[in-house]
Formats: sequence, structure tokens, C-alpha cells
Amino acid sequence: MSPANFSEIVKTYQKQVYNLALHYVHSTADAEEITQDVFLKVYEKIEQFEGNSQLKTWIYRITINTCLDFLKSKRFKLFKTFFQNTQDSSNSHNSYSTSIHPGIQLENKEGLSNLLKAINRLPENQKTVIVLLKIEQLSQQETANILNLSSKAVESLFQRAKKNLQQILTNTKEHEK
Amino acid sequence: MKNNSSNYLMNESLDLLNGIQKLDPPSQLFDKIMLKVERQKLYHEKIDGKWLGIAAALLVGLMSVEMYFIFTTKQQKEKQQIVQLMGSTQNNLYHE
Repeated sequence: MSPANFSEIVKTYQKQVYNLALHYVHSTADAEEITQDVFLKVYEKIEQFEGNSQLKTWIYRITINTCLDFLKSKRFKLFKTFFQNTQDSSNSHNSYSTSIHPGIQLENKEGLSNLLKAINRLPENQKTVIVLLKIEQLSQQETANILNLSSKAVESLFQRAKKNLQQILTNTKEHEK
Repeated sequence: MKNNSSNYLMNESLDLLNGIQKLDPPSQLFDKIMLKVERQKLYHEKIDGKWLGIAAALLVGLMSVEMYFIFTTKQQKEKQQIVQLMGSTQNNLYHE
């Protein structure tokens, strides 16, 4: 692949990758790191891309996997620090604080950040469906293509996600009372 | 009825997500990506190709030299043992 072609791909898709990463990690620094990793993977695997799906779909897929891996490693690091801190009998609540998505506007900041916190507590596949359908505003078919699922499976995942989300939000409200 | 209304409320809450603004990536991100890719390319070029072939050839050469020495010393030892055994039959005590 020629460098000119690759730089064209980066220019076209970097905003999409960066914003999708932001929906998962809510931090500009982490989203930047993920975006770099995604394009490194794209560069290394572009020869394996068979063109069965659209390039956009393929890049979405790589981004989602990179974000989920990043969150897993971050959770592991947090667990390690938490464990070390409890052993040192010091307070480590700050390690678990969730940051606010930088794309949230001031007017509905509280409602949205509560909703995003609840979305973060959903299982990975349900969270991804909500991110793709509701934040990225992709169609059910596009989401199905990205996740390698049928359209029906996406619909049922979405319904389950909504049900779980409702439960999480109700529990949080009751906990606050 | 209750289910329908809660579903409606949930959909309404999810519509809030449309309000999340898309941000422009930092201007230096493109350069950072290209630099990272370039570094990776250089790293691969350094490792693979000519040097990998030379290293493999050297390793094979060293191993074959070692095998040669092991076999020749083994053969020499065996020959020495046979000579020693033959020598012991010419003991002076048997002479009249």
C-alpha cells in the first residue's frame, strides 16, 4: 500500500475513529491513544482486508475491538492499583471515578452523564449496540454488518440493552434516595 | 400499559444521546499516527529481510560445525579404546 493511499485513509476516517473511541473511554487522551493504535492495526492488516465489507465497516470493527481491549486492560490496571492500595490501607476511590464525555453540552450535562454512566455498566455487546445505533446513529443493518450479526439479533440486543438500562437507572435513583 | 410508558420514557432518554457533539480530533493527531506507522515500518525493516537470513545462515553454520566436532571426537575416542584393548594382549608377563 502506498503512503499516499494510507494517509488518505487516515484523513478520511480519523474523526470517526476518534469520536467512536471517545464514546467508550470519555477521555481525549485515551481516545487519541486508541486512534493511533487503530490506524497502526489498519496499516498492518490492510493486506488482509478482502473487501467483503466496506472499509468504513472494517475500521469501525477494529476500533470497537481496540476500545474494548483498552477498557479491559485499564480495568485490570485499576484492579491492580485498588488491590495494592487496599493492601497499603489507603483510600483509592479516585481510581474508580468515571470521567465525563467531552462531547456533552452544558444544557443537559447531568442527565446525559448519568445515562452514559449507566450505559457503561451494560455488557459489552449491548453497550456497543447502543453506541452504534443511538450515538453514531447508524442503521440497524450497518450495525449488524459491523458486529457480524443478523439484523434481528441486533434488534433483540437493543431491546435487552434498553431493559437493562432501565433497571440500572431505577436502581441508581433508589440508591440516591 | 406500564411497560409501554416506561419503554417510551426509555426511548426519550436515549434520544438525549443525539445531543452528544462530535469533536474534531486534535490537529497533531494525524502527524502522530503517521510517525507511529513510520516507526513500525522501520522496526520491521530492521528485523526482517536480509539480516534475518544472515542470522539464520550463521546459526545453521555454527550448528553444523558443532555437530562435525562432536562426531569426529566420538570416532577418535572409539579408535583409541580399540587400540588400548589390543595393546593389553601384548603384556610382558606372558613372555617366557
